[in-house]
Amino acid sequence: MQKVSLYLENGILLEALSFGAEGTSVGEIVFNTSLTGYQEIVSDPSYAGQFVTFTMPEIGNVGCNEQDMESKNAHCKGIIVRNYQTRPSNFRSEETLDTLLKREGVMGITNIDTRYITKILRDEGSMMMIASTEVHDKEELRSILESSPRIEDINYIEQVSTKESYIHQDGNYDCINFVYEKPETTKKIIALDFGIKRNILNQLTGAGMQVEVVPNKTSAESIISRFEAKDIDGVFLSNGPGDPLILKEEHELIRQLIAAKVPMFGICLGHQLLSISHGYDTFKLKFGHHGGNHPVKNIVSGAVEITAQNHNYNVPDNITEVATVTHMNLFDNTIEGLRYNDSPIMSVQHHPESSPGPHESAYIFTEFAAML
Amino acid sequence: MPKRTDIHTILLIGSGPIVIGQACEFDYSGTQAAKTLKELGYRVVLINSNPATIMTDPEFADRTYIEPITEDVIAKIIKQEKVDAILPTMGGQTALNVAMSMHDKGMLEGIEFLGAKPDAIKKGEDRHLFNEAMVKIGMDLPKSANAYSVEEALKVAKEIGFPVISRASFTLAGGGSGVAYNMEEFKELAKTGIEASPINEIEIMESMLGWKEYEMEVIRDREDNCIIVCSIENFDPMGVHTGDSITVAPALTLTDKEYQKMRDASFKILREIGVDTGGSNVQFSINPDTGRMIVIEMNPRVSRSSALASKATGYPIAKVATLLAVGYTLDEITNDITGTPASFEPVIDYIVTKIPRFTFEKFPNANSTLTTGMKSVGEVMSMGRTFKESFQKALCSLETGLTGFKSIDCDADMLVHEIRRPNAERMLYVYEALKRGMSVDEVYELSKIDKWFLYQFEEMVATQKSMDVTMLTDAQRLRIAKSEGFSDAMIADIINKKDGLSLSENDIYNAREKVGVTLEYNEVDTCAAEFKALTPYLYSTTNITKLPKAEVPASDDKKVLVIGGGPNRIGQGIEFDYCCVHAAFALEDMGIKSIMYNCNPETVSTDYDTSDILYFEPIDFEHVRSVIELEKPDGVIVHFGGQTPLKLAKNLTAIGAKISGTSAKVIDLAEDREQFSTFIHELGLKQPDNGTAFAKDEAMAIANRIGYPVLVRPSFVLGGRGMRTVYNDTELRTYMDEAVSVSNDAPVLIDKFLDSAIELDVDAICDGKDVYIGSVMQHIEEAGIHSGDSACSLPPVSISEELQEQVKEQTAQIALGLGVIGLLNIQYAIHRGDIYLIEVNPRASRTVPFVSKATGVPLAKVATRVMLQGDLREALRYYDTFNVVNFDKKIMEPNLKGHVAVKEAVFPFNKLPGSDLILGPEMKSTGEVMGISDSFGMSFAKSQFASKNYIPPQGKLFISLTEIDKPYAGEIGKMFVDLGFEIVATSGTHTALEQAGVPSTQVLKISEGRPNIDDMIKNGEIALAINTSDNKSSKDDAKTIRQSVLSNNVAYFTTIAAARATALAVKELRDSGGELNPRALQDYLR
Repeated sequence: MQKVSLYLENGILLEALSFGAEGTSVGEIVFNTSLTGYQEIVSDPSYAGQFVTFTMPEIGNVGCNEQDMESKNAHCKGIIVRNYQTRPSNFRSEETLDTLLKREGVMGITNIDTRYITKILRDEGSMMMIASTEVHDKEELRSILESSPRIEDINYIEQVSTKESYIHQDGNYDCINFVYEKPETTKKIIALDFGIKRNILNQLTGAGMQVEVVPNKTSAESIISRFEAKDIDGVFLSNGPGDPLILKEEHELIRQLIAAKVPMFGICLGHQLLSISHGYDTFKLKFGHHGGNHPVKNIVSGAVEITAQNHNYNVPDNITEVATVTHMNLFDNTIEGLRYNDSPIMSVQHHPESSPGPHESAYIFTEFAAML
Repeated sequence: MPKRTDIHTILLIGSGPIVIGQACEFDYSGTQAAKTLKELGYRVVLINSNPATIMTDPEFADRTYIEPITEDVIAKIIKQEKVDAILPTMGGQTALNVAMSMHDKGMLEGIEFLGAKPDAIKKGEDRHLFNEAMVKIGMDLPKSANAYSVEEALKVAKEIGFPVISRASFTLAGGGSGVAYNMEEFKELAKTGIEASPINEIEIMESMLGWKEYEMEVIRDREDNCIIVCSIENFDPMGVHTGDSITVAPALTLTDKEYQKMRDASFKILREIGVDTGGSNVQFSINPDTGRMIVIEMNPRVSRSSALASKATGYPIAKVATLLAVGYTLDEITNDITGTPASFEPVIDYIVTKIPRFTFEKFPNANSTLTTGMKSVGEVMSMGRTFKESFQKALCSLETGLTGFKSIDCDADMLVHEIRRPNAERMLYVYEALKRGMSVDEVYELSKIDKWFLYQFEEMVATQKSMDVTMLTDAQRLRIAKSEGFSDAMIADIINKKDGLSLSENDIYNAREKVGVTLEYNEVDTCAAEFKALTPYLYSTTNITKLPKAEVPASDDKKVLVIGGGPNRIGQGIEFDYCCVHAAFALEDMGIKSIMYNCNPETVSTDYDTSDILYFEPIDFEHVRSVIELEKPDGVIVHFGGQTPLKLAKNLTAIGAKISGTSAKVIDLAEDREQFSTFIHELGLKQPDNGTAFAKDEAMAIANRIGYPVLVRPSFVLGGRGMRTVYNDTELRTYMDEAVSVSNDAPVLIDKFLDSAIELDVDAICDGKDVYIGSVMQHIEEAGIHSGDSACSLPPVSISEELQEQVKEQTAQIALGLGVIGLLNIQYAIHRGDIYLIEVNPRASRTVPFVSKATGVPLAKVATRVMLQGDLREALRYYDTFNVVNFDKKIMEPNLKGHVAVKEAVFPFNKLPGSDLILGPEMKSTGEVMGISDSFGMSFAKSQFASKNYIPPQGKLFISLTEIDKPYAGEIGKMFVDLGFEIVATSGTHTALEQAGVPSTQVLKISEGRPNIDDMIKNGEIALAINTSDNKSSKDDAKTIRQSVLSNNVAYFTTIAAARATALAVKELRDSGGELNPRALQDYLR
C-alpha cells in the first residue's frame, strides 16, 4: 500500500497507508461511531465533501454489495480507518471496499490512529483537511488546503441531486429472504432530492406512498399546481450534504410550498431547510452527530429511540415559536423532531430510515403517510 | 418514574459456590445489585453460601445469610426478615431455579419477583413455551422435539436426521447435553441427558454445527425501551458451548442489514417472553452460506456474557438492571463513565477477545473435546485496537505459558485432527497449519471458523515470517509487529529461531525503547471517544501512528498498584480476587489511590468502580512493567492475586518497582526449599524429611533416603498441580518422566508423606514486630488430600488447646523470622502428637475470605494497611468492627464468639464426563461453600447441603472401604447404626463390619452379578454412601459406583474423616428435626 499524508487544519500532519483512490483531496473531516454499515455511509450523499473517520477499527470485513448502496455512487471525499480489511467474508459480498472506492474516486486511508483523530475532532470540532498520496510536504499541503474552498462554500446539492425525475420502485428490504418488497401504494408524493438515501425511498414506498423523485431545481409552481390538482398528496424533503444556510434557492422553494399549505416531511437537511424557511436559521454543532447510538426521546409517547444520526447543523431552540418539539436528543438536548403548529409539516433531524442504524424510528414514515 | 416506595425489604439470591458454568461473574452482578439497592435505601437481605464473594461481606447487605441456597432455608429467611420482593436474576441459574421452584410450589405467595416475573422466566427457560413464543413472533427455529424416554428420543432423532443436538432441560451450563453423529452415540447421550434433567426431559434438535454463532446483550425497561449493550461473535462456530468458545466483540462479519435484523429480533423476543426490566441474553445462529438466522436461546437474567459485555464496553449491566428492576427507566439513569444518559447503545473502538481457560490436565480421564456442555473453569478478556492485537494479548493473558501463538510440534494428521476437533488449543493448531502453508479454504473446511478470522491469522503468520533481527533497529517494522499484538517474548522467540540467537524478552524491550515504540493506553469509555471518559479504565495498545509522547500530568497523590490473579482456574479462583478487591478498598480507606490490574472479566476487581484506576491487561512482565513505568506507583501489591503476580516479584524488583509488604527476597526464601529448610532448622522446627531433585536418579536417591511413601510435586505451583503421593520406585520413575516435562527444568520437590496426619491451616498477619493469628483451621480430611479440596473447621474440632498454642507460637516465629510484612499462610501436619511444617506461603491464601467471614476481621484489608503503614495493632483496631481481636495476648488472635464455621470444597466431576471423583494431593475443586452454626455437626451439615450433598437423617447407608481403612469399619458402622441407619456393604467391608459386631447386609459388587449395588443406587434405595476405595484396590467397580452415586444424587463421602463428621451432622440434623436454621452473619459476629 502506498503512503498517504493527512494534514489537518489545526496543523497536525499524519502519515498512513492508502487504499481506494489515490491523488489529492480536500474536505471536511468528521467521525462516525457506527459499528456496522460502512458501505451505506460511504454511499450516503450527505457525506459529500467530507472525509469520514470510522471509530470502528476493522473496516472492510464484509465487503460490499449492490443492496447496501445508499445511492448509485459514493460521494464522500474519503474514509479514514484504523485497519482496512483487504479480504472480506460475508455471503452477500460482491466486491471489496477498495474496488468500490477506486471506481468511485474516493480515497481510503488506513493504518492510522482513528481514536486520536476522533479526540481532536471532539475537542476542537470538525475541521477541514487534505489528504494526498502525491504531496507529503507539510507546507505544501497547508497551502493547498488554505487555497481550497471550505465546505460551507460549496453547493454539494448540485452534485448529488438527480438530474432527471423518476418513480422509485422498491419497498423495504426483506432481510429474511434478502429481496426488496413491492408494496401497494395508496398515496403519491414528490421527493425533492438533495442527496436522498435509497432506504428513505424504500421506507416511503413501504409506508404506502408512491414516490416521484425530482431534482432540487424543480420549481415551486409545478409542485404546487400538482398538489392543487390532487395529483400528489405531499412533498418529502430529503437529507443532503453541506451547510443548509447557503441553499438560498431551496429556501425560497420551500417557503412557497409552506405558503401553499403543502403537507411536508423533512429528514435531516430537509428538516433544517424547513426551519430556515420558517425564518429560523440553523447553527453548526461542534463536531456534529454521526453514528447509530444516540438516544432520542419521543416527547409524545415518552419512548426512547436509539437512532441513526448524521448531521453537523441543528435547528435553533427558538423554533418552538412556530413548531412543537416531538423529539429530543438525550445526549445534548438538541431538537431532533418538530411538528409545525399551523401547517401539515413534520420533520426529524435523525435518520428514521437508518441504513445503517437501528430501525425503531421507522414508524415516522407511517406517521407521514397518515398526515397526508 | 423514580424508585418504587411500595417495597422495603428485598431478598437477593446469590449463585452459591463457583462451579463450571457459574463463576465469579455472579459475585460481580450480585455485588453491583446489593450496592445499588442499598444506596437506594432498600433493606437488602442476601443469601449466598459462598464465603469467597465480595457480596457476602457483612457491609454489602443489611442481612447476610451465608447459608445453603435451598427452598426451606429461603422460606425461613423470607419469614424472619419480612421480605417484600426477591431479585432472582442476579444469581445465575441457581437463583433462578430455586426461585421458580419455590414459586411453583406456592412458597412465594405475596412476594414480588423483581426484574423478570415467573411467567417470563418460565417462557424463557422452558423449551416448549419458548419455541411456541418464537413461532408466534415469526422467528425461525431449528427442527426439534422433546423426549422423556430413550425410546421416544430415538424416534425423534430418526425424524430430524443426524447430527442432532440433545439438551437436558433445566441444567446449568449445558450439563448432560451434547452432539451425536450416529444412533449409538445418541442413545448414550439421550440416557445421560434424561438422567441429568431434574424433570427427565431432553430436547432433540436439528444440528447447526458449523454455523456462525452470535450473542446479543439486551436491556429493557418498564417503558419498553430496549437497547443492545454489546454484540458478541463466536470465533468457534456452533457446536461448542458459548462459555467454551473464543468470542469477540463487537460482531465482525455482519453487514448492517444482518446486524439490525438480529437486533430487531432480540427486542421482539424480549417483548414476547415478557422480560419486564433488566438484562437478558439472546443467542443466534446464522448459516454462513445463506444468512438464515435461527434463535438458539435466551436467558431472562444477567449472565456470564453480561459480565463480559459490561467489561468489554464499560456499561454496567447489573447495576442498570437493578435500577430498572426497582422502577427507574433507562433515560433516568446516568452513564457513570461519560455522565450522559444510560439509554444509549455503547460503541467501542477496539476489539475484545475472550478466551476460556480449561483445566483438563487435572482430569486426565475427562474427554477434552469441546461440545455443547461447558467445560471451562474461567476466562480471560483482552482488548486491542485490532482483532490481531486483541487476540494475541488474550493468549498472553491465559497464563498457560503462552506468549503468543507457540509452535506446535505434531505431524500433519494430528494437525488436521486437532483443527477439526474443537479443543482448548485449537487456535494454536489453526495458526500452525497456516504457518505450514495450509490454505484458508482448507482450514475453513475443517473447522468452519469464519474465514475472516482465518485471514487475520494468515496475516499474522506473514508478519511472523517477515521478522528477523534487523527489525530491532527498524521502528516501523517493530511498530507493525507490536500493533499486531506480538509480545516481546514472542518476538524474541521468533528471531532466535530464525537467526540462531538467544535474545531475551528484555532485549526486545530495550530495542523498542531505543526507537520509541512503547505501549500506549486507551480508555474504555462506552462511546468510542465521542465523549470524555470520567473513569480511568484502560487497556494498552501499540499505536500504528507514531504520536508525540503523551504528557502524564504529575500528581502528588500516593498510589499503589494491586496485581490481580488472572483467569479463574482450579487452585486460583475467586478467593484471590476477593483479596485484591479488599486491597483496593483498604487503599481507599487510607486515602491512597488504587490501581487495579487484571484480565479476568468475571471479577469484582475489574469493575470500574472498585478501584481508582483500572488496567485490563495480561498479567505478564512486559505488560505489568509498562504500567509501572507509566504510573510509577508508590507501592506494588503482588501478594494477593495468588501465584501469578507473586512470580513477577523478583523481576519487578529488578526494574526498581517498590514491592509493598513482604519483599521479593523473602518470597524467594520461602519458595526455595534448601534455604527454607535451613531457616526452619535454625528455628528448631520440624519439617517432613524432604529433598529437591533436578533429575530422576537424584529423586530416587532422596525417596529412598527418607523412605516411601513420599509426596512429589514440581516447585512453584499452585493448587498442587502435578502433586502426587508415590509409594515405590516404579511409581516415582513414571512420575519423574511426566513431571519434568510438565515443569521445564524446574526441580521436583520430594517430601516424606505423613500418613493419617491431621492438617492445620493458619492465616496470619505480621508487621515485623507483632503477629496476628487470623485463625487456626483444622482440615476434616487427613493430610495427603490437597488443602483446597479438604473441608475445614474453624475453630479446630479435635486439636488440644496446647497444640494450638504451639502452632500459633511457631507461626509467629516463622513470620518474624522470615520478615513477613503482611499476610502469611502456613500449613501444618499433626502427626503422632508432633507438629510438622508442610508449607509456608508469604502471601494471601485461599482461606482468607473464609476466615474473614467467620471471624469478622477482614484479613486482607488489615494486611494491606500493614503493608503500607506498618502498624499491625493500629490496622487491627481500624478494622475490628465487631470487637473480636484480643489485643492482650502477645500473639494476637480473634476471640471467637462460640460459632463454628465449616468450609467445604465443591467439585466439577458432574461437568466433566469421564473424570473420577477421588481426591488426592492435586487440587480438583472449583469452589467452596461455608456452613455456620453453633455446633460443628450442624455447620458441617449446612456445608454439605450448600454443596448439594444432602445428608439424609436416616435410611440405608452403603459402605465400601479400602484395605487401609477397613480397621475403621466397626467404628464408622457403629456410629451410623446407633443413629438408626441400616448398613449395606460389599463383601470385604461386610466381613470387616461383621468382625466388629456391626450388623450389615451384603450386596453384590457390579462385577459379581445382579442385582448389585449399582441397581440399588439407581433404584433410589441408598440414602448415603461412604466409599473410600481407590482405583488401586477395586479399579473400575469403584469408579462406576462413584459415578452412579453422583448421577443419582446420593449423598456421598470418600474419606473416613468425612464419614465421622457426617455422623455428627446426622445427629444434629435429627435433633433439629432435619431443619437448617438460617441466621445472619451479622448476628453471629455481633
